[in-house]
Amino acid sequence: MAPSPNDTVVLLSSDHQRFVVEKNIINKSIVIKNIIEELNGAADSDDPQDLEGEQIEIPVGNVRSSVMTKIIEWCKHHRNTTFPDDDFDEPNKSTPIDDWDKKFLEVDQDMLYEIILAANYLNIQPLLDAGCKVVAEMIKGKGVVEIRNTFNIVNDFSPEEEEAIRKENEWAEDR
Amino acid sequence: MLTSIIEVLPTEILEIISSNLQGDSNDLFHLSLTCKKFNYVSNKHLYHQIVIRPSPTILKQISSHQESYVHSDLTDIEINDELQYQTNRINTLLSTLSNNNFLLHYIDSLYFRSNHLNFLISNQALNDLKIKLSNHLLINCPNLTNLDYKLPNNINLALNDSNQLINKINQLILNNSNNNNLKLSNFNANLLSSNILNENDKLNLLNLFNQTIYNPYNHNNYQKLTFNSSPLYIFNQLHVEDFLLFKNDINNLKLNVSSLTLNHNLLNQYNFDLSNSFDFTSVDYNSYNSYNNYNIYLNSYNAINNLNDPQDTINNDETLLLKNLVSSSDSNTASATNLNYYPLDLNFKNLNHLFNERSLNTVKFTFCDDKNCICFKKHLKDLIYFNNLSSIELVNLPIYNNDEYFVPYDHDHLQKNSKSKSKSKSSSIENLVNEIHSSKSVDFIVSKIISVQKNLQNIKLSFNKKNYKISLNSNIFKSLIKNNKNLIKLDIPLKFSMNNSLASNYNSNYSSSTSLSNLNNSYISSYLSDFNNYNYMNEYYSTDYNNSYSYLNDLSSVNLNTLTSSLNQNLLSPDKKQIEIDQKNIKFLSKKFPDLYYFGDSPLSSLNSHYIPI
Repeated sequence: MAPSPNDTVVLLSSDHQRFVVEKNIINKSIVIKNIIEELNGAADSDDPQDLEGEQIEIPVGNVRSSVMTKIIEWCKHHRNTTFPDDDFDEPNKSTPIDDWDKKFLEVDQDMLYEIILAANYLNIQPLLDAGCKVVAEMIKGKGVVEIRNTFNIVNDFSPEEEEAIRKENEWAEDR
Repeated sequence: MLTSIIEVLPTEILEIISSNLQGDSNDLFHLSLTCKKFNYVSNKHLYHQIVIRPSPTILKQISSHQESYVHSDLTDIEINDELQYQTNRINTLLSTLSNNNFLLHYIDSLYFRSNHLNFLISNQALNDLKIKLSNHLLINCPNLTNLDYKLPNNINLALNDSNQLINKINQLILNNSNNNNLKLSNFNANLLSSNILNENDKLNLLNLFNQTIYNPYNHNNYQKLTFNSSPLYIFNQLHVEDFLLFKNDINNLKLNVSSLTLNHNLLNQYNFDLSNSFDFTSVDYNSYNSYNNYNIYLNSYNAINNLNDPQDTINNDETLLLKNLVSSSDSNTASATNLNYYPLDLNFKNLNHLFNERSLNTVKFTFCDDKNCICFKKHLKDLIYFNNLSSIELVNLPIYNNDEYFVPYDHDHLQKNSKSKSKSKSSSIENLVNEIHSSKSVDFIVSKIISVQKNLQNIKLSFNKKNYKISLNSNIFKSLIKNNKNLIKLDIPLKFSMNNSLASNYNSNYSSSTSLSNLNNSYISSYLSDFNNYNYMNEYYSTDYNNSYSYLNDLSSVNLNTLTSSLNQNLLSPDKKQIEIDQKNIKFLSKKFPDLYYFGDSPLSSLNSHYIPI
């Protein structure tokens, strides 16, 4: 059975694409969830007639349609997943990345960054964590130059500065 | 082209990425080296990782540390290894990360671990710590035990800046009120005798220790404050009686003093029960009175050291001891008696710093009538170094049969000293000293001493031989008067021999002294222009009237107009309210100098009083 308009919201991407998403799916985004709750709350308290029969449209100007598609895909997949409370997310950082998430995030770096940014913007913490873990995984085991090359980082240290940091942190290299 | 991650992702996300690298310091280290932005974000997690998640192995060891005493997961050796490892790591961190604010995260975590670990913070590590970090360390580690701050033997190599050291000690002691077992090793001997600290720094440091001991907010917590090396300076800087005011609060102040004889002796005179360590609670507080009198001190000091060999005693300890004593005195007068029994080098040169600092300006030394006085000449010589004295009183100067009273005194040492110091800035003083040592005449020495003084008001010399008088040649006289415009009292038994040179009794090495009878007019004029104190003149005349007469008789041959004007000019000193003149001298002057009509506003011939108002 198709969801009723009251159970869905319309997300407008930066390139003006409309995405009709069930509220209980997109509720993984704390930002969207709060907006919906606020709009519903306003409708209850003011004039219940105002929003009746109208679908809520939420512009998400920072997210392209291609990225929005991925975000919605992730939310659909995890619609029934319970994530640890953010306040106690310390253990979450130490847990390995979910296999599905890992595969889901096997995208090019630009898309990865955009997903991360979108997750950050929409406040989808588990997705943000997953994206950052993927990036962290890409860093692990690499040397300085490799990391720079992988992420297109320009070395902005002077040789002296680099040497000073090396010296300062040399204890961290080996036990 | 691939977009750079640091251009796309905001810092907060980069931090999350870095935080996911915790667990492997190598990865964080490499990331920190990629660029400044990653350096910033990864450092925080680098130290956080070290602290909170050192490594799975370390984490396990730490978490199970307490249990390990019960369970056999870790052997004692492993536990010790772990402790040693952590200690080393802390020291390495502290010493290498001094400029890194993220070290705070690390130090924060010590709070959690300090229940388990005894940190031995190394000297080097603390030296490198910034104040903020040190404070953080001390505040956050209430259970930090065995904080062993040990100065290296070669402090000059370890410290570039004495202020840095002072600050460190300040933090350690004053901020460490929770530490029940602060251990300060190697402090005094290395620190205060080193050249790295100037006198002010040393005094600051001593004051710091005073505050430490006296600070009621601190000392109560010191169950055991240990100074492993000699506490000489600390102790001496403290007024003993003040120190003991807190004796009931300091339960176990351990002072290991075995290595320091001098301190031992000093303490001995206050009936301290000395051993390698002693407990202040055992001291009878009423058994002594406070000392703030240099004289008392020196007597005691002489007495307790009278068995020492005078030739091996030149060291800074005694100087500092005296210095501390003098600096703790309220008096601006230093006096010492029985100097001939004083077998040590008083080192007046160093004391002179104190005199300047404390505005001490009066010296009175009473010499003992003892033919065996071996230090007499030396002490006399050292008075040269007091260059800001207003009063010198040398009582009972030993005079024997001319050349006998100067027993050769550590001649080799002095020669060595004079050679080694020949290039120093104070070469003029050293030359004087050498001259004095080459002289056999007390006259010469005394004259040299008073000639280098610049602010004398009173000079009093007396000799152990009655009727002994000394000769001052005209140059010395001139120098004395010229240098000391405020001279108001000259009490020296003087010898005049006008028919010959004033310096006729001088050592032949000083034969350049000139007979006044040979002086030309211009010399007399300038001589008299320096002759600005009539009291001096009065003393001069009254000491030996006949010789004075003879002296002035000689003067009569010079231009009396010059003489008159000079006398008038110089007698009209604005600083003098009145001038005391012997009646006989007035008559004498009047008779011998008919052109000299006025002293101040009064015609000379009308004077009936000893006092001439000015």
